[in-house]
Amino acid sequence: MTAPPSTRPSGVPLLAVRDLHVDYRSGDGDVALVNGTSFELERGEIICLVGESGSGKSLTASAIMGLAQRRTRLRVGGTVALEGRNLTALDQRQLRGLRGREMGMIFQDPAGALDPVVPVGKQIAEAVARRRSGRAEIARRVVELVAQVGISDPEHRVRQFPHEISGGMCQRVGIAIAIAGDPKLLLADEPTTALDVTIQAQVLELLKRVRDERGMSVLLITHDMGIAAQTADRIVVMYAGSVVEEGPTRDLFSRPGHPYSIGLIRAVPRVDSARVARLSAIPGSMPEARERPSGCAFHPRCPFAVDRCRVEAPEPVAIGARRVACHRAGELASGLLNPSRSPSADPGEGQP
Amino acid sequence: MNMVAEVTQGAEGGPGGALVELRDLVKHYRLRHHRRGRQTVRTIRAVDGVTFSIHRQSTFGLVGESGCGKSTLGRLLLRLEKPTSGQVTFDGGDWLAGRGQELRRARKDVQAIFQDPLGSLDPRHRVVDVVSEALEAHGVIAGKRERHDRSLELLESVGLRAEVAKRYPRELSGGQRQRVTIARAISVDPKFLVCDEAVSSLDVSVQAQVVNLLDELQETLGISYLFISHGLATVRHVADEIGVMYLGRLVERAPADELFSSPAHPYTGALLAAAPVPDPAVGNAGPPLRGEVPSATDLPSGCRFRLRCPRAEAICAEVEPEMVQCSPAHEVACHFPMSSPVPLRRPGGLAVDDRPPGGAPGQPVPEREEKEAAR
Amino acid sequence: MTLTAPNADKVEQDQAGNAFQSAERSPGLLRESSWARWVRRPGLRRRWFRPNRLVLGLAFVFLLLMVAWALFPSLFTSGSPSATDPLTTLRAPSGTFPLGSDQYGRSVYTELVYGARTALEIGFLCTLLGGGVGSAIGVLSGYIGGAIDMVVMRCVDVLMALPPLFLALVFIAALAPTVTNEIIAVSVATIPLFARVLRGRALEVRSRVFVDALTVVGVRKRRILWRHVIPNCAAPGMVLGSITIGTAIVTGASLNYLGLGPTGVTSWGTLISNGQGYINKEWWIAIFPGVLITLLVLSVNVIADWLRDVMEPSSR
Repeated sequence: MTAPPSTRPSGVPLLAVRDLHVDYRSGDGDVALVNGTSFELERGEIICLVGESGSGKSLTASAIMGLAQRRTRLRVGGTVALEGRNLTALDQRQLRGLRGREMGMIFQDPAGALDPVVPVGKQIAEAVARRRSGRAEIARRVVELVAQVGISDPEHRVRQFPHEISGGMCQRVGIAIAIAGDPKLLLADEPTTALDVTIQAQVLELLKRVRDERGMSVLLITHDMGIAAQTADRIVVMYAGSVVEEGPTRDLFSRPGHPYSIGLIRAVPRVDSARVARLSAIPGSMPEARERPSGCAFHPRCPFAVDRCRVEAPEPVAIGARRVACHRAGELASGLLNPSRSPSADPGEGQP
Repeated sequence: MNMVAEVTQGAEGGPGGALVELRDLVKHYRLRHHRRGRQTVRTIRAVDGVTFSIHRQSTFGLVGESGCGKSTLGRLLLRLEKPTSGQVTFDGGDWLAGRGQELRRARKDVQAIFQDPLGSLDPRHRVVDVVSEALEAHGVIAGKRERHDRSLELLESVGLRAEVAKRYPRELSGGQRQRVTIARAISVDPKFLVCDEAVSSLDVSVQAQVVNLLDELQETLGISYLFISHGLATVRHVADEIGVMYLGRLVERAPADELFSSPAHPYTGALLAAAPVPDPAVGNAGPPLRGEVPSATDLPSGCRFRLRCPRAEAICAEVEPEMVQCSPAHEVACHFPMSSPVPLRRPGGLAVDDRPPGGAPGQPVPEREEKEAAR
Repeated sequence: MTLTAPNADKVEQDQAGNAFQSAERSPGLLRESSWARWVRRPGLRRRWFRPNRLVLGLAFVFLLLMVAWALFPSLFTSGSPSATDPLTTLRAPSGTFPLGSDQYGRSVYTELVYGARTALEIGFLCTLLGGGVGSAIGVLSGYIGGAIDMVVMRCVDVLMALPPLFLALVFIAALAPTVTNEIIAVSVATIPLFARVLRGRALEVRSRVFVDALTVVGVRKRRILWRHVIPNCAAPGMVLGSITIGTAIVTGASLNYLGLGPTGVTSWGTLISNGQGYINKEWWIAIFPGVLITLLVLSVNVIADWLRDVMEPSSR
C-alpha cells in the first residue's frame, strides 16, 4: 500500500509508476533489470531517483520516456501513467507525440545529445517548431528560451556548433530543447555528472528555477546523494532493480529507514564534516543483474540481515511518511537496532 | 659509506622532510590549427609554473576542475610527459634527469593508480599475471613460481581472494579492478604513489572501501600519495595538505583542516560552496559561481580567476597575484584573500569549534573521532 | 544513451569517466564524437552476425571439403581439368556433367575441384604473407610513431591510392608469370590495407591507459609491444585477414583472367572470366565458381569470428 504523505494534494498524480519491470531477453533466459518499481510524482515536484550503477535507475527513466521499449532485447511491463494515461500501452508513434510536449528529457552527455553538425540555435528552433509555426514566432521563442536557460551573448551563441561551446553551455541548450514544448514532466538523467562542480551548481539552480517558473515536475536521476539532498522534494532510493526506500528528502536524510540508505548516506564524503580516520563503507558491491541474491537483494551486504532476509523479498512498509522495503524496518525505526553501531560491528557478517 | 647514507637519510627521513619537490613546473602544448588555408599556432598552458612539495609519508591532495592541469601535472611527475621547463626533485635527486633503462629502473619508486581501472589493465591478461609482471619488470623476485605466490599474497593484502586472481579484468567489479591496480602499484615497493582520480569512477559505497584501503597501506608501507581529484569532498578524508589548481596555476595551498576551515582564495571558497552536501538541513552557501572556466589558450590578463571572482577589482586585471603566505603553512595567490573566514555553511556546518582544539595539520586525528569511526 | 547489456549502467559511467580523463590529458583533442564511440563499442561487429553452432559446423565442413579437394582432387573426380572436347561444349548440368561444361567442353565440376588448390593457395598464403608484412609495418609504425610513422604512412598512402589489382599487375608484369610470383604479387597488393588498419589499431592501443600504467610500472618497451600491444591488435588483424582471403582469391583470379597468371593452372577465377560472356544462357560456367568463392569466404569469416571469440575471452 502506498502511504500518501499529508502534504500531497489530492487527485491523480502527474506520473504514477506502478510495478514497472524491464527484462533483458538474452539467449539464456530473461534477466530482470528493473524489478517492480513503483512511485508517484506530483505536479511541480522534484523527485530524485538515487542509486549506484546497476541499480536500474537510468533504465526506469528510459522506460518512462518509452525509449527502453524501442530496444528489441528489452521487455517492459507494468504501468507508467502520465495524468492517468498508461504510456506502456502506447505505440512509438503515439509516444513520439507525447515526447517534447508532455515529457522532455535531459541527457548525461550534453555534447553527445546534440547534433554536432547543426548550430545550437537551429536545434532549439527544431524543438520549438513542433508546437509553433511561423518563422517570426519561432525565432522569438528561441530567443526567449535561450535567455531563460541563462545563455550569455545569445545572438552569437545560437550560431555556434556544439563543439564550440562548453559542456555547461551544451547542457543549457539541452535544457532549452527539453522545455521548448512546455512539457509537464522533465526527466533528467545524470544531467551534471559530466560537468564540473561549479557548473553543476549552476545547472541544478537552473533546473530548480525552471520548476518554479513553469510548475514542471522533474524526475532527476543521480548517483550523488549530495545532489539529491540539495535538489529533491522527495527521494526514491533504488538498489539492484528495486525501490528500497522512498520518502520526503528531509525524513530520508534525517532518519534513513533502509540499511542501504543508511550506508549510502554515511559513505558519501562531505566537505563540511570533520576528518575521520576511516570512511564508513558498505562491504562488497552491487550484484550483477544475473547474480542477484535470493530474498532481499541487499542481504549479503547488510549488517542487520537475518535468516528471513535470505529467503523472502521484503515488501515496502510505511514508516511515517516513508516507504521502506526491509524486514527489519520496524525495528530500525523504533530504535531497537542501532544503525550507528552496527555497520562495522561484525565485518564478517557482511561478506557473502 | 654506509654511515653517510644513514646520516643523509636521517636528515631527510623525518616526517617533515620533503620527498617530492616541484619547482616552477611548466607544461605547454602547442596546438596547430588549419583554418581557411592558414596555420595558426596556439599555446595551451596546461601547467604554468607550479611549485610545491610533498612530505614523506603524507598525502598531498590536488584539487581543481577539468582543464586546470592537475592530471597533466600527475603525468609530468610520472614522466609520461616531458615538462616544458621546471625542476622536480625526488628523494634528493633530480627526477627529470634519467633516461632509458635508468629511468625504467627508477620508476620502481613512483607508481600510479588511474581513474579508469578497467582501462588501466590489459584486457587479455589475468589478474595474477598483472601483478607478477610488475614484479618481473624490476627483478624483485626471481623465479616464476615465487612471483606467482607473491602476487597472490599481494592480492590478498588488498582484499582480493585467490579465486579472483585467475579472472580477467572484465569479470571483476569496479572496486575489485581498482584493488588489482593498487596491488600492482605496491608490488614494487614504491615510495610515492600518484592517485589520479583513483576513486571517481567508482560507486560511492565502494569509493569508501578503496579510500580506506589506501589509508591502511599508507600506514603500513609508509608511502606518500599525490591524490588528484576534481572534488574537495573526496580529498577531505585523505589529504594532509591540499593544493587547489585553477587554469594551470596553484592558487592555494594549505594543511587540509585549515583549507576547509578558512579557505583564503575565493575559488576555493566557491568550490566548497558548490559541493552538494548530503544533508537537506544544510543549505547551499549562496549562489553558485558565475561563468565558466576560460580557455587555457587565451587566458585573461592579470589574475586568471578574476572573470568569475566575486571579489575582483581593478588591480586583478593588471597584476597576476603571487603566492604569498597568509599563515605559517598556508599560501594563497590572491590580491584580496578571504581574510576573515565566513562560516561556509549555515546551520550545523563547519564551525571552528567543531574542529579538535589545537588540531594542527599533519597530526593524528583525535581519539574521539577515531572511536566514532571505528564504531 | 544506449543499453547494451545487463550492466549497461556501469558501462555508461565508465565512459563518462573516460571522457573526463582524456579531456584532461590531451587538450588538443578534447572530445571524441559520440558516433565514434558507438562504432567502437564492444560487440557491435558481433551482433551483426553471430554464428550459431550449426552455421559454424557447416563452415567447418565446407572448408574441410575444400581442403580435401585441394589436396586430393583425383579422389573427387575422374576427369581431367584440362581435357577439352569440342563435342561436349556448353552442356547444361546433367548426369555426365554434374555442373555442366564450359565452352571448351571441360566439366565445370572437375575444374572446380582442381581449382580449389589455386584458390586456397592464393587465399591463405597471400593473406599470411601480405598480412604479416603489412601488420608488422602497421603495428611498428603506430607504436613507434613520430617521423618514422609519417614517412611509412605516406608511402602506404601512395600504395593505397592504387587499386590492389593494379599493384599486383605491376608486380607480376615485372616478374615472370609463375605461381610463386603470382603469390608475391597478390601479397604485395594486400600490404597497404593491413598496414593502414593495424597502424590505426596500434595507435589506439598505445594511447590506452594500460600502456601508461605498464610504463609507470617499469615494464620494458619491447615487452609492452610484444605482450600487450600486438595481442591487442590481433583481433582486427584476424578480421581483416578473413576478408582478405576472399579478395586475394579474386585478385588472383583476375590476374589469370588478364592472362598474366601462370599458364596451365586451373583456377576458379579463370572459370569465371571464361563464363562471363555466357552468363545469360550458360550461366553455370560463371555462377558455380562464384558461389564457391562466396561460400569459401563466408566460411572463413565465420570460423575467424569464432576463433577470435575463443582467443579473446576477455571481450565477451
